[in-house]
Amino acid sequence: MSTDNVLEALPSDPSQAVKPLRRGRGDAGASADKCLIKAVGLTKRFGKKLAVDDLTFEVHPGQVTGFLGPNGAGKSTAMRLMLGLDGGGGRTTFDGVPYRELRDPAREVGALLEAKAFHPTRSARNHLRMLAAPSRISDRRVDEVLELVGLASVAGKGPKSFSLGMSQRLGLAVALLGDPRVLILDEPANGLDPQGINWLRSFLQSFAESGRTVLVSSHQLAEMAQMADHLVVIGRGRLISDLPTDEFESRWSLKSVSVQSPQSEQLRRLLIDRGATVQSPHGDAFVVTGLDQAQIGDVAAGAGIVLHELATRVASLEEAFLEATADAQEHPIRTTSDLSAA
Amino acid sequence: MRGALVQEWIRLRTLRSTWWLSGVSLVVTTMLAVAFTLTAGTSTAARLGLPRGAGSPAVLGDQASFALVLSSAMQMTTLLVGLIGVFAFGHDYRHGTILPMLTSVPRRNSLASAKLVGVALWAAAVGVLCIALSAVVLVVVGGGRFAPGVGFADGRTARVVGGTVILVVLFSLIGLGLGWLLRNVPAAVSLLFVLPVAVEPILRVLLSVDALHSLAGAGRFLPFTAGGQLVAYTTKVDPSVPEAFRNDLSPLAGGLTFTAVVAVLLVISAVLFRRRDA
Repeated sequence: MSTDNVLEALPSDPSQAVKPLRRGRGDAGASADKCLIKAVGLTKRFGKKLAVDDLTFEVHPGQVTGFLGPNGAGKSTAMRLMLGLDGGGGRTTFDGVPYRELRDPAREVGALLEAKAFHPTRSARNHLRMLAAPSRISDRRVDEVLELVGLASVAGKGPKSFSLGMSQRLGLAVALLGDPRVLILDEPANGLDPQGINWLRSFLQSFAESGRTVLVSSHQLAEMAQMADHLVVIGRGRLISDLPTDEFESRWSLKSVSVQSPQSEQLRRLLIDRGATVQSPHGDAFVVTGLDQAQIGDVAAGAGIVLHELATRVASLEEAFLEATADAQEHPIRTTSDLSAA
Repeated sequence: MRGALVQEWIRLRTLRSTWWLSGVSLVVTTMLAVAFTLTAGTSTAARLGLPRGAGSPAVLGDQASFALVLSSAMQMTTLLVGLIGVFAFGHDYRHGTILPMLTSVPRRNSLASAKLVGVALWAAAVGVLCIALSAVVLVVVGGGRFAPGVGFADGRTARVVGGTVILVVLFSLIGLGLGWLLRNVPAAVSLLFVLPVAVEPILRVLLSVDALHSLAGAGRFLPFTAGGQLVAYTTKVDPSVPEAFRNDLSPLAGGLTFTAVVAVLLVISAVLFRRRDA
């Protein structure tokens, strides 16, 4: 069965699938069910290599927090450390309690770490029933989450033939079994088709809006821009940035100004004298950094220079990410110019 | 812990391999029981050194041959149930299910204990069923093939029956320990088969050469060799058995030796399980 067939079963409005946040015990109200994740000093070493280096950050309820980093940055390792799956330094608490000490982990934290973490011949339903058992989650809830992720029609089949997208959905179903307060998802959009990604985005946003906590890693930056309210960016295991998404974009974006003038030579000299950097000269056009649009306009007007173009260009989130992690690539890709130079 | 046990129960029941290996164990044990019953007289004659063949007086099976039929499970069921043990952790590491299992049961001791209990109980059930089928074979096929007075009401036969169940359970646990320690199904399966079937017999032969004669007694304490004594009807040395393979270790000493080896394997695996990354 193709993923497309399964998609037909996805609820059209994912927000309908998100249950209201459970009320807290006693009179504490709904806020008692909001969970703050605190990761402090996470450290993991593989031999001589430091995979995660003293990583500290918080994940707040009510928003989707994106966990970004280049390949090999240590995102998955950090998530495993948070859940006590790997040994290492540091401590992660969920409202003050480490994962291993949670009384009913599936009802507190739902995790998706690997898409294909299932036995190929055990049916999807039995896979979920097995993982639901320790938290006494009913078979009715198992069927409910299968319906929710659009796998109800293949619930009785072994996932051997599942596509990557279907496997991701099964993993997401596992994470949702206990209707948890927290979701920790490692690259959940991998293998999903556009409809699936759209559904996931809407679901996670609704989930967060209900007051719950979401930490989701991805290397799909455009997807993160649409999905995450806050970004924790790491490179080579170290924290690079921990900012709201729009602030990250403005902080790390290199604003530049495109200029075109018939007196470009004279204008370039004047701008350089005022400390600007001039790049990419091409005929009458060039790009300026270090001075903003108004300052460049003032310089040109003061010298009586005619301008044909004066436009500010703001880098996209992707460019901001590349800028932020430029020095933190674990396995940098060689460009064609590198290869030519070699 | 109760939740982890329920999880293990579902894990075992929802694997095809559990049912295949258990089913094949029952079928093979039944076939072996039939074969041992039909040849009870012949094996008794061989053991007692009585003449066989045309013209020789017919020999009926003795109590030892009767007990051998009831312990048919030790021939193949031990290894097949050992595979069920290997898969307890082996499959989880092979298919990555150890991650969601440890997030659903984060206390590793609970997860491991549930697997130990689940696999041991399943193995015990398979062992008991094998013995029951062997008993049925004795009732249905054994009429007139055993000497008068031979039957179920015999203390040593009861011990062999108990030893058979214990041996099957210990094999399941040694399989579990190998899968747990190595986290690699092919490697664990290979060791499970190669150690008792090839390595120990070779070692015993080597230990019986004259140059190593002073060490010959040590061969009795090789783990699988010692464990085999759990189903020995008698410790009296059988002259028809080659010297290298004779064993006079008592069932208790043999059983304790094998149990100790299994326990050491499980303790090492448990310590590493707590320390290793998932």
